[in-house]
Amino acid sequence: MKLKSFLNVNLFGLLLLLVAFIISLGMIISRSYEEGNLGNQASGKRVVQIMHWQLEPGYRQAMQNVIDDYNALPHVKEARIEVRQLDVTERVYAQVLNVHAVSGTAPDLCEKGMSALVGGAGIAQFFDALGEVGSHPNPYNNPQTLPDDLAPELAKLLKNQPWRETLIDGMQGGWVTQLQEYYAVPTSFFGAVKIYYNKELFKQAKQILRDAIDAPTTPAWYADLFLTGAGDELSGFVTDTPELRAWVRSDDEPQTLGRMLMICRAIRQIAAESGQSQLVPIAGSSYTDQLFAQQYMLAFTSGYATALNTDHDASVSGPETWMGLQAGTWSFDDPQIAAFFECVRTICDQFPAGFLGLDREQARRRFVNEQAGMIATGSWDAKSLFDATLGTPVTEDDPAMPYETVTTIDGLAIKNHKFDVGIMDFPLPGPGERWNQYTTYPPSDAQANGGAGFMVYQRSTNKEWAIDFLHYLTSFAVNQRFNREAGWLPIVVGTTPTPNLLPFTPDPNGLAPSDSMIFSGDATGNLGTRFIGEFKNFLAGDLDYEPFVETIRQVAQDPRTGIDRVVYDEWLKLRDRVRSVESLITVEAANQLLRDDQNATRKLNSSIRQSALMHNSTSALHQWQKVFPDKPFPEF
Amino acid sequence: MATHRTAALFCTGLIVLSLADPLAAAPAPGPASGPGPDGEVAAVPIADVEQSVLEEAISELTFFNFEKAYDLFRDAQEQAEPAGSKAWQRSVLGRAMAAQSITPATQAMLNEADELYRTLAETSPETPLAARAVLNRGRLAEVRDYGGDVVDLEAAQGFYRRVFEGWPELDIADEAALRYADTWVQQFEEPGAVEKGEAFLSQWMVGRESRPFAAVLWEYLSSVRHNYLADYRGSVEAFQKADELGLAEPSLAGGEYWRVAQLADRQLNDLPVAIHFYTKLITDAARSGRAFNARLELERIQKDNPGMNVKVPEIKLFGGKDGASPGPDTPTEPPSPQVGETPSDTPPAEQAMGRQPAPQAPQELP
Repeated sequence: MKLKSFLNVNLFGLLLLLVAFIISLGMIISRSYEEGNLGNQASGKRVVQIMHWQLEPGYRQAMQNVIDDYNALPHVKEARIEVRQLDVTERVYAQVLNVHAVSGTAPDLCEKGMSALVGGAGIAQFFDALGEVGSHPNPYNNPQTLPDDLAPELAKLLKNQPWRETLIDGMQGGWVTQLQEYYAVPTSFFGAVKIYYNKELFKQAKQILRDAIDAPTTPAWYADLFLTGAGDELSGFVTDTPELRAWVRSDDEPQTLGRMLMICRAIRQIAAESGQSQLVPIAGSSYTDQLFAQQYMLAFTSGYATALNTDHDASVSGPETWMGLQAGTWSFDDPQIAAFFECVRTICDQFPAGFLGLDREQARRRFVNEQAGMIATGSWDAKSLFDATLGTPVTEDDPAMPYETVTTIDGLAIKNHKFDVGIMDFPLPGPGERWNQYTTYPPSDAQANGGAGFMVYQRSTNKEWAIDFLHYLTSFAVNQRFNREAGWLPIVVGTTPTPNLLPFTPDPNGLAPSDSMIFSGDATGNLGTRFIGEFKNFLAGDLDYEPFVETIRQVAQDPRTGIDRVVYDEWLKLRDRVRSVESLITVEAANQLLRDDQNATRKLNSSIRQSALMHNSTSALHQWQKVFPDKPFPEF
Repeated sequence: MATHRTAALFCTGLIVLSLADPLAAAPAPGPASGPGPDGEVAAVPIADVEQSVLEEAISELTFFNFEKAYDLFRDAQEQAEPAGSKAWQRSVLGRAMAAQSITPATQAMLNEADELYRTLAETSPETPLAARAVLNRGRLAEVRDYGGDVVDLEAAQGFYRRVFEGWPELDIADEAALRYADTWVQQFEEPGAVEKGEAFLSQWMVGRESRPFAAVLWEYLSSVRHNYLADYRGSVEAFQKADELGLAEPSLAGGEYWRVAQLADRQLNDLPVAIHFYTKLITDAARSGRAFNARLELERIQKDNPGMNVKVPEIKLFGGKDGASPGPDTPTEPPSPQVGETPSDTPPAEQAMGRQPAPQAPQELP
């Protein structure tokens, strides 16, 4: 009986093990043979692997199309090179990258990100610096590959300028500040976050507003939109002017916050009149509230930048923001501060109830299911949003199924069309509107960097081909086609995205984002964490302004975890940073003295500059003394 | 039974892993390294082996693999005896640098690094490597390498002085002078300390204004004069010299241009200098994000000083909305009005925002 039991269970296990072993062995032998590691090596292929986590619709296919074209190039075929892509879900990407980078088996090209391993100076242990290769022209931008109708000046730039100068972010997306080097080549551009809106719903909202204007008796909900009262009794958002009425009668999208809030109110009216209890103005979620807060923070708080930036580094940091509160530079009672919080809460009032319990995907679904008028997100969601709302063309390869609806638009058969989508900027309060007197300008997109950057693995034996493929992927025509197919923004100078993504073209007209106050993140420790928790409760309507402010004041003054702690921890980080820059100086000095590398001098000088301006971390102590001359630096 | 189930799960996991992990199943071929086509490894002379260990050590050091580099440099140093040879000098310096950089730092390792630097400087004082060794001893004394490490500024000053007095013709002398001055600035709570450091460095610069490291020194002086001494004129002048020589970190130029332009504009009322740096911010550092801020300032100056003929450049970025080099099918927008041709009172920067003039942002809070 015992023997029988042993045989049943253990035999099964052994068999499984054997099968696993045989399958693994078979795969290794098969791949090795294919790649020429077994048998006749001359007939084998050299495989260049490119690993990424971009599983968004369209990206993988677009990448595969580029790979297929590249593999078919005569000189690539002749060298028996084959590029293959490995798409790994972002949930395990970091683990896969870490394990293979450390064990020496990482793919030749890996997308930069997700893993802490490649987040700082550690990247130099596993991936190659690309500054040198980036300083030479991209060979695939040549007269044979560039379009004939390209402006001569642009063609000359693409052909002759260093590779990094042919990318609109100057390859900054791959720049590692700690190392003063480029470690990745960005292949797409992300642009800014925008508001997508349902055009049909906006038309209906406009119609309801028009009806309200023309009604013999102005409906109460419409009258409530206009500014009345003052101080705590102030209500409404806009002033009734001929320009406002002209806008209501037009098909124009709202270009001011007051008008956007009018649309929001009209959508609520549609929901009430049609009994659509799920319909809300904005598809908000726990992800979206902070998007709106970030977009409006700069416009409301940039006026404090000069006073807060006490180290004169042209950037307001989290600790500087909180030190400013303690020093009385700003207060929660300041009209523009109170107005900021009131404004963002008013916007979040347009989200579904309980939005803090909703995630990004639930918000997306609400929008595409016509249960919201707007959603805020970036260009990376454009393809999925457009496919789900505009529908897709009926083709031979992708015919309409019997259960799918087909609509003819501009002579084209489109299946599953739901509604047209518009894209607009986050509007600021216009003249005569509520909060207008407290705002300045929106943020500039000038510092926007490229994304989907690829690094070259240090131990790759196919580096020259890996770089060759990156050259190909970031050449003018290929990059434009690739990103258009993926539904993303191309990154090469002079390229353009698909027309519906044009609104995402970054706009440098706007204030420096670094003038914004920073309450959470960026070295604000426990104080920042508490702030964000209470802020979310306030935005969700669970807390009024006074109790919210009182809680934050108490947390900020906590002797153990408040502002003093934030400043002290920042000093500790600065001390670590001093030592980390010291390592960088060591490496560059080694390059200069032990390798006779002429390029090292520039980097060495830059690193010494960085180190000297930290004054061996005493700059933090000096900053404290400037702000609080009579108060000793906190100790813990 | 639990053991059996675990075994079965393990086997299933193996199958899944073997199918799911193409990386494990597909090692990249490596024709560029390893034995030759016939599988033979050629005999290599001993000197070449020493050299290759040293080169490998240097590679590991520059890849930030300090522990591995330390071991390799130690081997290279042993192979490179007797002391004083070129390979020995390089091995000792590399080993000390690696020991100094290993994280977490220990006092034993730091002591070893200090001793190696000392040995190198005493054995081969004629090489530039010795100057770096002495300077690094100063860094060991100055930098707090771990929690309880003691900062010894006086000792550091001694090492820095040895470098700039002993090797004044080398570029590293300028670096040592900078470090020496900074040891005084770090004592900002002591009356006169910052002034002493600033005066020393200013004096050091006489006759050395155009050396390769001078831009860093001028930028440092500009920062100290601004932040510690409130000497705004001196700060602006020092920065102008740094900028003329070429900034050591051009990617950070935007922030510095803004700082100096604001100093010249708000503190010194030196409009020509302010206009120069605001303009440069737009034309040379638009990606800093401050180009629009600079345009607003230039438009204000233009409005307040019509006789100055202030030009306000366009922001050229991204090849799109305001791009310099649009592609063949880039939609073109009407050209922005040129300065002096603005048809309305709305400044061009505000017109670019598509909005009416906003109330002036408070530059300084009450």
